[in-house]
Amino acid sequence: MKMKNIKSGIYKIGSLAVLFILTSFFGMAQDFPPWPAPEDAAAVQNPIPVDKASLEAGKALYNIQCKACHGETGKGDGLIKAASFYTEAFQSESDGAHFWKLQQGRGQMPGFKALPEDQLWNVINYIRSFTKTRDGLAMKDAVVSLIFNEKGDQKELTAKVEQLTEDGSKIPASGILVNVGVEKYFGILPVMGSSNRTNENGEIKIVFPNNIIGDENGDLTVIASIEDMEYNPAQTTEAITWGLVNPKDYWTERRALWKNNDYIPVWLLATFVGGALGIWLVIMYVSLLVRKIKLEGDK
Amino acid sequence: MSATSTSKSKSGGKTFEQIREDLIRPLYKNTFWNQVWIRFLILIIVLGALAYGHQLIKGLGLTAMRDYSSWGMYISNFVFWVAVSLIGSLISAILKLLNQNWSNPLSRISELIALGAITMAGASIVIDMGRPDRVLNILLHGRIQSPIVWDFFVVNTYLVISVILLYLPLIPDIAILRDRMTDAPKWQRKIYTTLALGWQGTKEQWRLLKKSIKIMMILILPVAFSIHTVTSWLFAVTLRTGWHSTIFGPYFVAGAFVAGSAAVIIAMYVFRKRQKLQDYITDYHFDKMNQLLVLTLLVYLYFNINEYLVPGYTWERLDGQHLQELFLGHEAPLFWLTQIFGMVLPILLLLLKPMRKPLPSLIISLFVLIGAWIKRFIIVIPTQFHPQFPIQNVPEHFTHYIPTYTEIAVSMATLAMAMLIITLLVRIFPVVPIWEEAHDRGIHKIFKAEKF
Repeated sequence: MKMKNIKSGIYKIGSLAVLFILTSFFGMAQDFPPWPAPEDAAAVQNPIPVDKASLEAGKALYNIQCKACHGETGKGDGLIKAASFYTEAFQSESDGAHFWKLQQGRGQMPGFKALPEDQLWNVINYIRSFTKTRDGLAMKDAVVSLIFNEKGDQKELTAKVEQLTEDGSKIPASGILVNVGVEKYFGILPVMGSSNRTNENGEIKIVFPNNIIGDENGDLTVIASIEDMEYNPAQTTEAITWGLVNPKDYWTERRALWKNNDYIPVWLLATFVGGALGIWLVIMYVSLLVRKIKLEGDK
Repeated sequence: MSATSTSKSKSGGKTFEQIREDLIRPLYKNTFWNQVWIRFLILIIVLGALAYGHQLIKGLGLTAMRDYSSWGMYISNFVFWVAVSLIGSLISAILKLLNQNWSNPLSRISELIALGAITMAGASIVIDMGRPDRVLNILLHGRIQSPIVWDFFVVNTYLVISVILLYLPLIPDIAILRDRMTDAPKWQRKIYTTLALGWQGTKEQWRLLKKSIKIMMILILPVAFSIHTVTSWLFAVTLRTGWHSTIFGPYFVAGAFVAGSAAVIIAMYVFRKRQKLQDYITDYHFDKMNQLLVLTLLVYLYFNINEYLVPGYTWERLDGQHLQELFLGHEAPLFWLTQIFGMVLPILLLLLKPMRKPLPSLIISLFVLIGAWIKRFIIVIPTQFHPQFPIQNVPEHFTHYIPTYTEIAVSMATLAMAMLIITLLVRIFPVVPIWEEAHDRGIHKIFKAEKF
């Protein structure tokens, strides 16, 4: 290594040490320092119009790549602290600037250069829709209902979507994106038909699987929710005894080394408590001997 | 070669008063360098405390620990401290029970090291917690099956036993200090009077003391073995390559005796030099201690061969990845440095008698001890980068571990703290047991009992 490099290395280490000490005292750094995008990047226009297809594609990608940190509705309330899309700082920046940031990434946020550009524009359109009315999309109201039909071994589930018109009547809504699933321990297990958009009758027909494990009675909770971009969110939940009975006596409830205190093996409890008590009784016995030494000395 | 002969020809020509004065003299000397040393340690501790305070406020994000490497330098330190602390049981229990009397002058040094080390082992765990205020939850809500609960229990128990085993053989010495050091400051005399427990050296007192020491020497063995075995189980019961090994218990215990022996040799050298104890800690003791170090190193080498050869032979997918990293990959420089300079070379060198002299053995022991620390680091960290599921979609810095300034500062503070504990204790207590030294030299006049 050249002398100059060594010198600059020492200088770097030294200044880092000083910086460290300073930050120890005053180091209340801002969570999200300003992050300006280059002007030419910010000037780039968003080529993708805000429409139903773009928003739906944006939402799909958002749920995979962004939701974990930025949260369901973009408030930055996910698993780790992330920027909120509701701040003035975020709103005031152009789509081009956001596009540049999505590609670059910073700190905990990875860059997404590897993704196709129009997908990133779709995400930007979707993120904007949290705060802006969905431009050009007249939001409609609809209800979804579940119909359970059992013919012999065949179980058929129908999710029916009906649009609420202004006069209060209901008309079947076709081509609507609906997610149907079963509530499980860590989330919703999707139950799919051939398509998850409603047919011309406003219906999705699903051949219900026979092998989903329910609770101890075989009860399942089925959830259908409208995910369509032109509709306000709505969902329906219904219980049905279509699951397998969950065997109460599962092997994880037997005594095992790694289970909780309710299932502690007796031999282990005896060994631990016996050993601990034994050792401490001996220590106490020795303390008594030491006390005797003192009494002997006081004589 | 008068040094070698003293331990053989009984009293070595010294009277009890001479021995007593030789061993008490350092307690009067508060030299300039001693004060500098203590202030230096306090400075390191203060810096570490500041860094720790910062960590408390900002959280463990200040460390380099992330999703994959969730155990870092602090846990390596913990394993290292537990390892070093085991020397107390080896020298003052195992060797004594085996009637290896040559180690008697070293027993207090080993107990002091054990006390300093086990205190810092406990501290390292609390330091590693993001919420140290919740440490008592392990008592309130702990699962008795969890090795963490066992570890919590044995670390605390071993701490108590170490204190008792340091204190018991000190009682007659404290009585000597109480009677002799009447010119010491008042607080110091008060400590002696209180801790001497009115020791008169009567037959009954000797009987009680001998009995207590013997019980504690036996009791410390299962506790010492379980503390480090349980520490190894924290790793071994986790289904991870490099940890999930059936020999981890004995492997850790063997490695612990290596680290502890090296620490004792370093301390022997320092105290001999600083306190001018050439007549008490002789070349003979260095020779013997180094033989012990070679023995422990050979056992450790044997376990190392087991630990690496068997998975290295089968080269199962994840084991292969892990060993590839250790042998040839990213961790290879550290791995081979510790294995060669911390184990193989010391074994070869210490087989030569001139290398078992104080100065060469000090240098070798320093290598062994530093190697022992790096070895813990290598056991704890690299495994975490070979999870059963591949590492995906994480920021780049999640995929390796380099300790941050905070971690280094706090770790240095624990090292300084252990040394400060030892330094302060040897300011008021003799490093070599006076009564044992006199007894080993055939002087029995202080013992009112004819036989003790």
